[in-house]
Amino acid sequence: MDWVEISVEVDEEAVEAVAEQLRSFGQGVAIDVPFVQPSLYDDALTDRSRRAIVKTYLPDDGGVEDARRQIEQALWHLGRLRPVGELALRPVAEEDWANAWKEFYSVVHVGQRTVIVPAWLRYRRRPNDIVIRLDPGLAFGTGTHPTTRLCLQAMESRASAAKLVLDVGTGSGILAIAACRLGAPKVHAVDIDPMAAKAAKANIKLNHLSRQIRVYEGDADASAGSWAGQTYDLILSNVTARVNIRLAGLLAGLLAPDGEIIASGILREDLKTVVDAFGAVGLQTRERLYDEDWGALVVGR
Amino acid sequence: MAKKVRAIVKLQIEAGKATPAPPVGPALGQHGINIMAFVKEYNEKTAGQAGSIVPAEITVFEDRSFTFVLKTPPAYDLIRKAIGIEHGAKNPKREKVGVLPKAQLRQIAQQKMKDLNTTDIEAAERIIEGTARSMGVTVE
Repeated sequence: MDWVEISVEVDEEAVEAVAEQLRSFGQGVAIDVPFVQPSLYDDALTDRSRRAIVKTYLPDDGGVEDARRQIEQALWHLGRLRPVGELALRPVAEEDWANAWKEFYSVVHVGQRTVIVPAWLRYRRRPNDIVIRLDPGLAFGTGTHPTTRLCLQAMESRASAAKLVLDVGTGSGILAIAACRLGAPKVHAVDIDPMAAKAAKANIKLNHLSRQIRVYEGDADASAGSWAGQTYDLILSNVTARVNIRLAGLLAGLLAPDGEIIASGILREDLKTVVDAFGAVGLQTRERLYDEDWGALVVGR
Repeated sequence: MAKKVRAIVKLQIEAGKATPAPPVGPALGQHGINIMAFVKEYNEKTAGQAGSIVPAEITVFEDRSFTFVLKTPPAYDLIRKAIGIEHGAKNPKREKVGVLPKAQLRQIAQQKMKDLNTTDIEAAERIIEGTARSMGVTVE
């Protein structure tokens, strides 16, 4: 069965009222929320100065014209209370939505040896390949983002010598898995988001590494209690500039004397602030890596 | 976690009943995100709220991974339940379908406050009152 998407642009104040109208005619409602990108100090925020797009879906079975007239009438009345845009109609072909998204993923090569393979694809391993199988989805880290790539690149020459690795903000678990594949015998991974911790565990299982990687759910500060007395030879901190700054002191305290931190998730313009934050806790920047708008740091004592 | 954002999509769907069919499939599919991972997680988290519309706000990152949070039911759903009506008015300017007492308005505003980006109860009440008006519900 094919579908018709009916959508309309509205101010934030009218979103709920319009959503209710559309929902009484169609199947569920989806709203495209306008937003501003996260910055060093703020998360991504709803942008109230721009209009949202409210959509619903109707089966394309001949009743669409009738529904359209009725929706138009209902919105006309609403439009007398607050501004409501014109209705837009778009045909949507029936698809296997449960699987169609997989087209967006393919095998990705990162650095010299690392290969990220989506769970449903086959890959013929070459000698020296470090293969990470990943079921992308909930939680950050599919291997296609510059911040993840920078970490993977910086890790290739470092992880094999590390006896104990800490992965802060593990997301999908991709970096923790890579660290093990590169030769680290033991990894602790932590994420504040319970959904991420769950996704990481699933991916770790997919790579048969549940024995080597332990996942902690919660804030790194709180989890640090369970790591007390341990130091890490390599700390992966692919979070954001803000979180790197906040955790600088904690991470410095968890770092082995000869250990290194790979700090990523930092926009180029914020790099200096992060270098200074690590400097303030006695850590020197040894290497800077760049990819597109993003930068990563390797720091140590 | 908080990386550059590709899209923010809010879905209003019934608790425990998400499927890859519209609106979930086409709304999320165009961003290339794992539909089944969302459906499974959403249904699990909302299983206890059957019968309510529980919106999910999904943040899609640049690498097509995503995360989501559940929101409080839409104001019109709460207003409708509070005063026991099936639907809002077709023509809210002329047709009045009910009255929402001030005390109940405050209750709904309190419940919705965390999703309205305000800590000011009066501002929250104004927003809920606006929704009520556009449903043909008067506040007294």
